[in-house]
Amino acid sequence: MDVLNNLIFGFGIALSSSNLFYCFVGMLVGTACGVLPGIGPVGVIAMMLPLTFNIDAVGAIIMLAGVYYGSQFGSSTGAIMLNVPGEPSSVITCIDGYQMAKQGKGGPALAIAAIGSFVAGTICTLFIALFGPPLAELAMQFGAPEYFSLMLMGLVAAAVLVQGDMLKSISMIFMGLLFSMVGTDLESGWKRFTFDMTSLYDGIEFIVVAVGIFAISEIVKSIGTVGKGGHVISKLAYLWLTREDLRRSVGPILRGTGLGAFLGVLPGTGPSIAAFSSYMLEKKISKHPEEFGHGAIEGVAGPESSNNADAQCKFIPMLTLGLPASATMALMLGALMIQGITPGPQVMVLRPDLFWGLIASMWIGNLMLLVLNLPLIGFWVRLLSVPYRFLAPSIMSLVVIGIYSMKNEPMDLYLAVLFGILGVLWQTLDCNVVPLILGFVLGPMIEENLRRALYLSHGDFTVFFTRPISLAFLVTTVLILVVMNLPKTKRHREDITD
Amino acid sequence: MPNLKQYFTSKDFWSGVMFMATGGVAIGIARDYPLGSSLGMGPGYFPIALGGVLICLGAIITFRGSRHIDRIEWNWDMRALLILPTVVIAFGLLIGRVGLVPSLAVVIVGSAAAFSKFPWYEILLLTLGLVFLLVSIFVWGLGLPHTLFQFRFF
Repeated sequence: MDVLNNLIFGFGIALSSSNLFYCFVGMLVGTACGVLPGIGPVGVIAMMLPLTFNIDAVGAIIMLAGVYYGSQFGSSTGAIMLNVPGEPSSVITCIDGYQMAKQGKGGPALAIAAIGSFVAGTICTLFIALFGPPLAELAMQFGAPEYFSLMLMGLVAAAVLVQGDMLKSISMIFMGLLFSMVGTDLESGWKRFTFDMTSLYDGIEFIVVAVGIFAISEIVKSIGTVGKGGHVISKLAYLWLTREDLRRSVGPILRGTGLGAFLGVLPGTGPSIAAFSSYMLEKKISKHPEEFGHGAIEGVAGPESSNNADAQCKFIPMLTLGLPASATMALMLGALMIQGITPGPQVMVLRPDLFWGLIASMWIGNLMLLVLNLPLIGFWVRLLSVPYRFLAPSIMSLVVIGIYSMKNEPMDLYLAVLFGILGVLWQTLDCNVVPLILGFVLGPMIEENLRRALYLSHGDFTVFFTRPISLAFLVTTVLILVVMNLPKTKRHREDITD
Repeated sequence: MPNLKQYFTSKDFWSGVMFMATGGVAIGIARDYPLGSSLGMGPGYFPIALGGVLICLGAIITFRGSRHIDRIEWNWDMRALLILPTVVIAFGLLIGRVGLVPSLAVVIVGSAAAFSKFPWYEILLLTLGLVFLLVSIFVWGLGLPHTLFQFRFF
């Protein structure tokens, strides 16, 4: 069994003491940030990035992945115990989770959320291990036209599936692409949009954009909203699940995992949509739909498994195709590039340690969440009572030291401020920043592949339509656009995003 | 006919204007870059194409005339919005002149000033604790080459 050998190889790497340590640190930091409202996973990963420069690539990506799923877990803790979701993905969990907590069943709710996430994580780890390699093999045959069409498809799909107005999201892609043009053109050496400033010759660092948008403007926003009005902390009596609880949760967990895994591979969908879809599905097929909203354990088990499955499967397009399907994955991609790794299908061949080590560490991380984090819940809940006035200065000081430590370049700080203010502006105008981030990351690669494809075809644009795989991507792009614009799906989509 | 005042304060209108302006500025700056041709794309080819698309998309968003006009609501905390960016800029200006410790202190005390109720002794303790923690992690732990204190204004 090839897959089995590869997994054993991966576990060998993930179980090294340093990688276990990075996984643990990432998971702890992630959980803490997930519990606390006012700073999301993207902001935290962006802030943690400069910390990983001195670590090897495998350790760095393992730690960042730990932050990622740790924050998912932490977020559901806040949702269940306090009715305060740390991230949007747990909004759905609030509905029944908080009701369970109010009835004194907070422990079982947290336990089933952790177990559901673990089961989803396990299944998705296997899923990635099984389907990652064939997908990467297929992608190895891609030339420049295929890559261009693939990225176009990824960007359009992300813009269409992400929350908010479709046209604005598509425009935000182009904004991101434009911002990525700043700096020296690799082909001609021409300095573009640099205003003769040497500090801009290397272009705008991705971390600067991400920290500006997801940390600085998030904090500004949170100061206005977080901590207004107190909330009652429900008591945590016991963690144990009854046999009945387990029996009722098996179905929702498995269905949620399947749904989340499917949605996870699609760009732009995000864990909130996965959680929402799972909740609606469970409510629809349940024998007691009237219990939903009053503490039905299915309403916690399904969505929590689903958002975790979605989060994990987002790694598939990133690792095998080099295509980020969410802002977090764009950051992971950025982290790989900083480490000198060109993302794409060749990663699996050139750096099998990275690919399989990361997959194995995801499973270990999920296990850690279950056995280490569940007993710590009392601590996490207490963390919520730390007032935001202590957190904001802490995050701000981490932001400045992190950004400055990258290149010792004050210009990066000013650029982060610029993007922080732009982030405020974009939020005010309801322009989703995720497509912008994806466009920004993919910009140089899109230009490069477009240039190469046209060069090979002697300037003939039909090359994108005459090569079958490229054509398939373009047809899919058009199909996504058409389907999502049908009046029926449009209405449905508006229902979901509201 | 929708109310004009509503239209000029709508999210659609201003988003579209922003996209058009960005595209326009991009083309304005990039107009001198060599365009090249499809066979050999010059440095100006892609940015100008992007700018053009952005102007078109912006125009559609501005003039599409949605039935439902979504007006801009401004509910940001102005104090935080002014203070936090200033603090980051201050750090950028100070770090090369006075070193890491005083610059960090400015960021922490400055961010604390974004909150209206924050007792001074809490700010003091937070500053001391955080500076110590960050210096331990970044300078002593990770070994980043930051000067802790210095005095160089010119």
